[in-house]
Amino acid sequence: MAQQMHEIDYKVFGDDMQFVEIELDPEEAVVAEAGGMMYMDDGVAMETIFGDGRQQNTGFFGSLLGAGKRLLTGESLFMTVFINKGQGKRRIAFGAPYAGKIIAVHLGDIGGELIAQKDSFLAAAKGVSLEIAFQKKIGVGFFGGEGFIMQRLQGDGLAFIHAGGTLMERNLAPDELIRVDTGCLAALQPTVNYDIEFVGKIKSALFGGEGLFFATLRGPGKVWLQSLPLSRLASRIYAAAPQAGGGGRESGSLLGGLTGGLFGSDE
Amino acid sequence: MKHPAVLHDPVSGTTRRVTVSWNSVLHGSLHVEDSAGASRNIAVTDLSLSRGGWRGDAINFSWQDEGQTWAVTVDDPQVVTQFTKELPSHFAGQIITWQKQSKRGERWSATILMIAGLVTLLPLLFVIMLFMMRDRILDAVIARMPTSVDARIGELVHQQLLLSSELVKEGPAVEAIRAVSQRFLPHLPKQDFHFRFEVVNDKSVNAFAAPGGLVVVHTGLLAKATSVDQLVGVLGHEITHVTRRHSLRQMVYDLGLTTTLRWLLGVPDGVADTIAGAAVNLSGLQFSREQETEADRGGVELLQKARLPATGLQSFFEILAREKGQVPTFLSTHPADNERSATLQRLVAERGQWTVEPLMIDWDAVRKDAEERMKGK
Repeated sequence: MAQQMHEIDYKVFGDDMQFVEIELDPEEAVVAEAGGMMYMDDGVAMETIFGDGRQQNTGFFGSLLGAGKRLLTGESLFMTVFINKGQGKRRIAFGAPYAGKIIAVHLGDIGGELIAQKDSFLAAAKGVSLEIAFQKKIGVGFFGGEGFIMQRLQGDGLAFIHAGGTLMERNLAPDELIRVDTGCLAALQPTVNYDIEFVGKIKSALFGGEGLFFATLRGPGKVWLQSLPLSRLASRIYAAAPQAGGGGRESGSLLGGLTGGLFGSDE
Repeated sequence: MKHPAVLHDPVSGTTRRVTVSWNSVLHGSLHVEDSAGASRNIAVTDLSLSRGGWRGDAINFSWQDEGQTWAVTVDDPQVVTQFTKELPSHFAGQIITWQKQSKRGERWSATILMIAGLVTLLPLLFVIMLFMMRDRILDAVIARMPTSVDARIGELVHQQLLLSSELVKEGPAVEAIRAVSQRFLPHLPKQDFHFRFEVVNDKSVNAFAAPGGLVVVHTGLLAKATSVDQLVGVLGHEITHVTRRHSLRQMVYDLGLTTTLRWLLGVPDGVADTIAGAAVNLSGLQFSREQETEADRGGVELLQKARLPATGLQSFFEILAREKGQVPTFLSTHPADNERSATLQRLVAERGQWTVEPLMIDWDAVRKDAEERMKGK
């Protein structure tokens, strides 16, 4: 890695709706997903770039290819670079898009590479590259919960990723295996073996409520698990919406309280 | 040879980049060296190999050291392949088996994804196929429609014409048209079409044919043509539009295209109709150009059968082409003038020579008649 990574200081604020404040020394820069910025000090200059800020010199087609790949992961074509053009330290903050936790991963500490679920990237020191990684195993692609497309973060600097609910970091020893609900994998080190496994019994598959497959993660390496995948949250919110027949009851309503208590499916 | 790998350090809980190489001295050992230069050797007997990597194409070597498990991962598949060549056979054999399994799995994935992609694209492929077979489909559809449909549409056009236009009922122009039509009629399919020829007093240089056999010539065209041959050429062309049922074809085509697009796009009718309308216009131009060429060819055939001169249509176009800004409406969808002249010449040449039985018509009288009538307008 001959790239110059920017060392940045940061602090995460909030409990479940977090934002991260990053302190930039003069001429230090961070790249972020367009639209994630919350506030910035005077003196921080913003520049929109096509691609991820790493391949500044790969020419037009290089950046076009990079942008096309970004489109595949469902991100915007552009990223924004924030550079401290002022004197002294300046701060900038990025907010998480939904309830969950922001974690900082020092890519240098994990061998320089992280595979994350798409859309989870929040910001990173300039020099960290962001690209898509294709899952080649069909079973994992279809049933692994993350689809065929994930994000690959490479570099030695800090990267901030965000996932739903509470994030748990777990360091798996060689050959240590955990089974995970397919939606709950947020990120993993590429050395971790990621596969799927049938839940075991037809009865469990149909009535166990855990789906047909587990994701199996086998060490060595670190994995980050999210307690509340956005899709799970979204389906609960949707089910509770009056338009979807969720009743939309208020706690003050007598009838609503009764039916809610007696027949309600509120878990 | 040194290969890039990552080392999982259970003491610090971090992973760092190292290089690995195989040391074949004695029974062999794995040599791990980090960027700072620190290195260690792990004897073959202490190593255990496992398959790893988030895509299953990496290999791990792990060993115990003071009660803790260390591991290195080589995760670039190409590096794995190279490194395998240097490893002892019991490791290499195992890795090659895994690689074969992965490859088989990937091939499966590719096949299934391709099938899924095809299934997704199926409607599109279907539409492309329809579009490519449109001529044959149209032929089949048109063949199933009785000519009474043409007659009914023609009748509507005729009624509309009676209401909106001034028909010329007598005089040299009408007689000329009648004389020319007498030459054509014996060679036209009588049971399917009922041919009628009308002259309309209208300044625009135009002639058109409606389904069922109604052929209309404007006085503007009669005044513009310099010889009866030119009229004959235009009529041959228009009659072919009728016998080949071009208008009906066009209608069926437009309807089919609109319906297909509406189904394919799956958007509200209004939106679909707008899009389809644009598509119909675009492809319709191409479509009608094909029809014009076909009408030219059929016209020449008809002229040969009726022993009429075939040079008229071309010379008429040349007259029109010389006059700027006067592109007649019935020409607007035609192939470019020069190209068309060349095509016409070729079509006539293809038919070979035939004896022409000339028409005995005082063309100057016809032109004068047409001009007189237009003055009254």
